[in-house]
Amino acid sequence: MIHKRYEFNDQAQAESKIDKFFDIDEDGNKVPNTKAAFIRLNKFVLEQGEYDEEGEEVQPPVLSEGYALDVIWKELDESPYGWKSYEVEPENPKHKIF
Amino acid sequence: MAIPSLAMIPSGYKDGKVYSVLPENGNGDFTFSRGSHATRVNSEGLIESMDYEGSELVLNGDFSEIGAEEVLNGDFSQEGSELVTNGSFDADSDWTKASNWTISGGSANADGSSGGVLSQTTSGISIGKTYKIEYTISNYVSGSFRFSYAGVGESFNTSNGTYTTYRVATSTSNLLSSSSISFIGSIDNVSVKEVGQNWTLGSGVSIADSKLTKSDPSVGNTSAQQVGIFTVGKTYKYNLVVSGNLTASDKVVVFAKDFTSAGTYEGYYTATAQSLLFSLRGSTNVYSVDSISIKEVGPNWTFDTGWSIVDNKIVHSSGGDVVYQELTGITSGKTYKLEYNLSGRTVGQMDVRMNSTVIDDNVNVNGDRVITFVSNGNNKLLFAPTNLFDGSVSNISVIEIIEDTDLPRLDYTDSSCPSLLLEPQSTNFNEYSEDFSNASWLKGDVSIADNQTISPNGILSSDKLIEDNSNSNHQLYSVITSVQSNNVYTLSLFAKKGERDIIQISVGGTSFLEGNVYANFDLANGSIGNGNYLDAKIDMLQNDWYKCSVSLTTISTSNFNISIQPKLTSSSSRNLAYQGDGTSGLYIWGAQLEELSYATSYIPTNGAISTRLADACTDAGNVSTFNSEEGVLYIEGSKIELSSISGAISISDSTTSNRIVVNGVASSIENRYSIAFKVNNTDLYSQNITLPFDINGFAKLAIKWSVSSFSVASNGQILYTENNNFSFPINTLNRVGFDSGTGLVDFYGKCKDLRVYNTALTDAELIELTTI
Repeated sequence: MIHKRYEFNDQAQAESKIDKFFDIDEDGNKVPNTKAAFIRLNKFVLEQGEYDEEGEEVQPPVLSEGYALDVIWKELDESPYGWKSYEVEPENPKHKIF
Repeated sequence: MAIPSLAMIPSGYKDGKVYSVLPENGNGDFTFSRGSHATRVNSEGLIESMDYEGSELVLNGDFSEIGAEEVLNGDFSQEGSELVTNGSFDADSDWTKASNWTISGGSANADGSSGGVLSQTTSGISIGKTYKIEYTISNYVSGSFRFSYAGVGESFNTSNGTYTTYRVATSTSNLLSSSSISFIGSIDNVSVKEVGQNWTLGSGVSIADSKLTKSDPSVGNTSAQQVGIFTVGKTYKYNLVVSGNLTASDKVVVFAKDFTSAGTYEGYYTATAQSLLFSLRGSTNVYSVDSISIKEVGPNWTFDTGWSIVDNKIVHSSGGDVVYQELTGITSGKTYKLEYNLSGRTVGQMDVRMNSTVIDDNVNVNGDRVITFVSNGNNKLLFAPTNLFDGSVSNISVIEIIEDTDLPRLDYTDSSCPSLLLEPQSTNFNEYSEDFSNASWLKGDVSIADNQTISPNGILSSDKLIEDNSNSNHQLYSVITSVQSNNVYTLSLFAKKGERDIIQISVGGTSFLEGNVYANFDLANGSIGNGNYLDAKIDMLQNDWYKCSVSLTTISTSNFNISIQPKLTSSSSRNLAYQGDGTSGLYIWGAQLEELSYATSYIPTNGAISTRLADACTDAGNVSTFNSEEGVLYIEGSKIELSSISGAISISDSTTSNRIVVNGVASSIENRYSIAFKVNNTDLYSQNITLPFDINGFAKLAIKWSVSSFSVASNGQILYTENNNFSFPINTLNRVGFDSGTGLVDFYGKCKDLRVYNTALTDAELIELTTI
């Protein structure tokens, strides 16, 4: 089992990558074809925004670029083909496995 | 009814295994994996993380252990070896006797013809030691008799009887010598033994009849002592019994206390010298020390001055001294949990350190403390007041936390009877689930007081949300940026009433399918008041805590704000302002935002969002466990979410070609399931069916296969039956799992009972088996 962090250009790109690990069964249901956990994280706050007393945004937060996705590959030792180039290794990850 | 071939009633587990009751050879145990930590509700109703805990590293952490007896001959009853030879006069030997004495018939007999002496020279006498002299006079006719020993004589005796006297040796003369005047009678059972060993007596003090007695008041103040009792600085518990005529002036002084009346006394004493010294004061009365017992308390601990032990607690009053223990088994880099209780704190604060590394800082609130720390190799555990500090510490524990990510969870949320909890993957998008003082939680006319009450995990760590005295909505809020559009989210929070009964959870900052989302929760009666949401729930926990949750649907990708607000009434509208009083509030803990339509078990965070991975429980049994030709698959469980395609339970040959599988179906009809019976990759039966498995309670389901029929029964009813050949080829089935039969499509829910029968039960038996 390995935990890999990825940053894709956008959510659509990430979803198209994820879809390859699912099949459609005879009832039209999407069922996994591999043992993996896909954790959709979107963007992280790099700098907190500022908000007024009503909670309205005064200064927007600074967010990470791209679309963050963490994957637990339960039966792989490295990223599958087509994923390696999107791997990232942040110094202070904003997400962790409990 | 037949006995099942495989039976799993959730009661036993270990790393990577859920035990089955049958078969007894272990072939029926389930393989379990998750790959992450998780929490559960334990049998005490507390939320706890699933980790192994190592053995206790603190010795005598509850201060109940007491050391060995320190005082020798503390009841003053010890007697030395017999110093007289042939004291029973069994033979006419060993004694020197004058002409008036004969030895015969087991006694020494005097005929009164003279005052001649009966004597024997013993050995081993020492000046100052006390000797007990004992003998019996019988056949008394006339005259008087006495013994002298060690230079001291006794009074004459003039009748039959057994006589005991105690003499402190004043010379080294070993001669036990009688004197008599016209004595006619017999002497027998003569004994001389040393008593009062280990004690050094001052003048006027004697040991007799198992007591230490200040027997001669005329000597004034005197003493008795035993050396080498104490280690300076250590604390001891004493038990002292004194008797006789004690007064304010005729008293025993010991342990830095005056004992002025007869009685039994217990107390604690921190030694300032090595010797035990009884100062025996006064010049009027006779009194005694009947017994003294001294045992070390708090062995394994080292105390500086200022600390003492009272009633299984270490107590400190003022000063900056430390108490410490050097722990064995601490390893750098490993995680440990320190637990202790602070009570009676009235002033000041203290640190808890490992050597110089502070692991619990400026502690000044009474209660149970639980601290997790990663060791840097230091092994000296110190409790160190940082200024004037009065308080007590008890029940100290340090154990290693052995992290394990594949521990199954037996959950007690629903009752005292546990169920196997199987949950999907979920992420808590809130970065600080417990630390509401953190700047990521923004304060609008509220403040946070840290660690004000016991949390749902049993630790003093819950914050209090306090309104200020303005007229506003009084909100604590956090901005979440990772939300996605057209998704369902659930925000959950543990809350407990304070001065305010109502907590409002509102969500804003973006658009929701449900409109302006909020819900009011009444923490006094566990009800839900006004609100606007996809779903809202309130569940009661221990100690007046409630788990409140609100579900909603996003329709844009903007950030949204999670807002927590005290309110005056459960009918309050969203973000309603009210006049605060500056002191009132309520308690909160464990905020969690998940991308699910329901709240799952708590996922703690502290500075980063965190994901609990999905549970997988599979692969029970083998080909010898099951009868492929006929049998029954039975389960008692509940579903975790209302509508989902996931949620399979199967018996199979480890492929999808031969299996019975019950699978959740995405449908507008609630509790819709597909049941499929496939042999050699051909469906013999495949139907969608509504089952009473839902999120609201446990249901029972049984599926029968045989060469002549197929039946589905649930909650005491036959839902489907067909007479035909529904059997697998012999030796086909080889596993049962909470999945679709191949390790995929895991079941999420709770299971109280799962069985496989190797006999096709009758419909009547299926009804009986599944009746709630």
